[in-house]
Amino acid sequence: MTVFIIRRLAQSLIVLLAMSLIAFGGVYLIGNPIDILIDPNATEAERMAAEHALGLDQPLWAQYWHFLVNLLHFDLGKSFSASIPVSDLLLQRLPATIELTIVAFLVSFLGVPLGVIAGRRPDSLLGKTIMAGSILGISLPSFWIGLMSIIVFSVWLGWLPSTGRGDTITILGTQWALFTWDGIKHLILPGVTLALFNFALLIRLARAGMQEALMTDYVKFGRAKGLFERRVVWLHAFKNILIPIITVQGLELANLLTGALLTEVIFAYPGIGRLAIESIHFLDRPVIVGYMMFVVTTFVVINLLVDIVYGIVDPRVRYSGGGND
Amino acid sequence: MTDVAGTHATAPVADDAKWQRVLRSFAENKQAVFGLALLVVLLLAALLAPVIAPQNPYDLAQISFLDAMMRPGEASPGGILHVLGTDSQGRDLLSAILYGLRISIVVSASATLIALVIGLVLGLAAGYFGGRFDAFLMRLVDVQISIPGLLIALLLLVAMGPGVGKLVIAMVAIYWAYFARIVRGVALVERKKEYVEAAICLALPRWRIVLRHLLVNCLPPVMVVGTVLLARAVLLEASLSYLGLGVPVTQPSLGLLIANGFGYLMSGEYWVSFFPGVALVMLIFGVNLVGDHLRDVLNPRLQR
Amino acid sequence: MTAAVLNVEHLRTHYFTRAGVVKAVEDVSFEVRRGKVLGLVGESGSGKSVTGYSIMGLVDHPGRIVGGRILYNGTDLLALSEPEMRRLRGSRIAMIFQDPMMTLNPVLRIETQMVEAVLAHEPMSRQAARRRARDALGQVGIPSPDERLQAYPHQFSGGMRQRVVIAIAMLHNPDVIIADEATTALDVTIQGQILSEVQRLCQSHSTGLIWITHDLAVVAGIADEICVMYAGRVVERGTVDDVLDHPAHPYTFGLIGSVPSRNERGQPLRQIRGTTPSLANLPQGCAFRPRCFRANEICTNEPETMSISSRRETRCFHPLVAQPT
Repeated sequence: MTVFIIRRLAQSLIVLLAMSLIAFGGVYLIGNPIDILIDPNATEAERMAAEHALGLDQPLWAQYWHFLVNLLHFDLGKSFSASIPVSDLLLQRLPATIELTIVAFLVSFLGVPLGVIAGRRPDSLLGKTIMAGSILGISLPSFWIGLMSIIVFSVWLGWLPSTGRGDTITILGTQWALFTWDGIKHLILPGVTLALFNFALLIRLARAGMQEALMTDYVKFGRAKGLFERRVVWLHAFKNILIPIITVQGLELANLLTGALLTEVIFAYPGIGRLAIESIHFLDRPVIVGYMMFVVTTFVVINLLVDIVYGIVDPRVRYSGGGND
Repeated sequence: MTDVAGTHATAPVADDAKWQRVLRSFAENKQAVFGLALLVVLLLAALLAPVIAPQNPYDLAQISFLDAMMRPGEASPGGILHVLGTDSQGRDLLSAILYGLRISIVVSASATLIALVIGLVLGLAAGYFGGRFDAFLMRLVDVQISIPGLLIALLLLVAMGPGVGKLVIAMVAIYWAYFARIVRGVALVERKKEYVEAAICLALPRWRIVLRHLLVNCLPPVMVVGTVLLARAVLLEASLSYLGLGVPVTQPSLGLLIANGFGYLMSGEYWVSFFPGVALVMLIFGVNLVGDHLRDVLNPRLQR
Repeated sequence: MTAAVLNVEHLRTHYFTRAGVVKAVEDVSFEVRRGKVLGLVGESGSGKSVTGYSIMGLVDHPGRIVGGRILYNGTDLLALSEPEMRRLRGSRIAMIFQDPMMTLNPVLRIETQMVEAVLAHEPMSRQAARRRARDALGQVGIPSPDERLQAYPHQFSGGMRQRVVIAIAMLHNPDVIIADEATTALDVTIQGQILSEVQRLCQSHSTGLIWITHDLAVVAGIADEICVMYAGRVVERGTVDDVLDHPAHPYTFGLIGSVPSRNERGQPLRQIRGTTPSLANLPQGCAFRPRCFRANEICTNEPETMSISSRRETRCFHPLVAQPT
């Protein structure tokens, strides 16, 4: 188990290093940010001074090395346009994205019971409807659904706000909207929009898992013991389908984080995804790199955690792991 | 050891009977047939866009700002009936959708196909030759797959700038890895099977072994993965174009058309975003329906 | 002569598949008496397992019981509602499955799986249920049952796991236990232990036992009576000595001849030619006809079950033992 974790850690570090290289290299190729940041009428001397101040006059490898060393100190550099540290900028926007992602994640889990129902009776009308709905669900572009929900719920019905984050309260120096009614109202449309794909995916996973689990002997034996069908389905079969679901959901949580980018743009929601897109338009290099590093790090960390949680849920992995490695 | 044909006959090369069974089972499924019909209609519509579209949305001579933002069903003074309305530049929306559909399909299908070919070649090579090349390639695939696709595309497009060709390159850069992984897996399994060894013993040329046996056996999983990735590619193309990072404004795909309507949503002028979205959903839905059933049919685990 | 606790009369269970109706069980009758063992013998696909599931009321879709009666102490189980049937399952009629690896739920502790079986039929405190489970484990010869309750199934050996399953089946002192190939997946030495364990328990609780197997040697060792099934039908029934020593049906004759140990050394093994027919496409008349060495034209008609002696029946036009006149 320890060897396994160490191997996974090393693999994760390689991914991170590769990503930092790609991100830094890729972003460097964008046009010179100086052209945007300073007055076009500035003198050459002013221009040089600005480049020097931003460290853009150093050779590429020096900039990368500097970037890497700083990265280890959680220092992502300063934003070109906002002139504050990128990490501050990200931290400022992060709570919004965390709230959005978590709301979407929780909402999407409503797909599990639906999938279980469809899996129990795949040939019934209800089962077929749920299944067709889930195929439609994974086919709907989230940004389009977002726009349509704005039209329906904000413009026509006027029930829910379509932009921004609403009222927030400050906890430990960060702004949280989940604790105000207005904030919750602002979270509903983006949250549901973002949840949709994962919701549909979970229906499919749960359905396939349930169909397989219901054919197993332990389910039959559970029935033969005289258990209520409820318990056979929702404990015996359910706990077994949880394992593949958790594996996929770790990745999906990370996918939600990148998916939030589109949702945030549509709903003018001030999270890190919108920050990234703004930065792309301003060619604010450190922020783009900072965003990418943050997302990939989260991705990698979640992947690691999934493997560990996997061991907790599945006792076979937990026990055999200790002996084999 | 005289019967060369015999080794071919015993190889689990997908024979006609198997494909017939796949076809029959496919035809029995209403959802799959519906999906396929949907795709055929959309493909025809895209192909025949210049013929069936009421106007050429790129021909500035045919477009008038005076016709801007007409509601669905209104007719312009010029006499054209705008079934789906017009956009802010006075373009007939139905025409724009038909042309946009073309771009969406061409971009995502060519990206998927190129990724498939690259993945197939690299995956076969890795699985067949093994060794360092295999190890290196698979590490690369692991790294690639553990980074979200949208992020890779953003990065590349930011670096390269917008454009249809660059969009295709960015998408190929994401999807080749999935093909390479699945093909390599199949090739590894097949390589160890007796019929490949038998073919080697018979001194058949290596390329024939690879092509005839490995390739044919890779086909079912590649088709399944291919449809899944095609649906994702359509979605990704639309998303990137929506963000303004995909196709250029002169060649609007469905995603960009949806984005164009964004500014008018708040005043309730829904159609500019709505109808391109419907076309997009139909396209992805069709691919997913077909792909879903393809997976059921071709999945050996469920064949009993 | 003890009274019959279970009477199966003309049971018919069919599967309605796309390829056609599969008559898995067709006109099967037998009785199970208290403290006695009935061996249900046949090749795979002969319908013996489906007979077991039919008694338990656990026939899966697309299967359905289409005819006959299953009398438990005089009550027709087929007329019972699902809640009534559930109350009998596991408490009055229990079932043991073939593979103990698959029968126990891999992700639940043995304690959970035993306690729930107790509580499904008798309301009591968890502590009391736990004591009951522990005692049951002790009864089937599992050392330090208190600790073993905390374990997961994969921490047991195959034989121990089957003992756990037997302990669960015995929890409520059922009147009938259906053991479906219960020792087939075990090592030969373990097989013997389990066999005698089950025999001992059933005798001391005067439980009727249906032992489903394809292995004549097992049946010879444990059963009082034998039912031989072929292609969904009972082709021969009688006491174990009668049937094994003087088989009446050519199929039984062939089956006995196929057992290696009963052949003389140096003699070629006798075998039944051909293979078992597909249940969806049975030959007309006697299903064994194409493989039978005694078949003639009359066998294209459906043979009726007929008595040979008081507790002896066969379904053949050309029985190998003298018919009563």
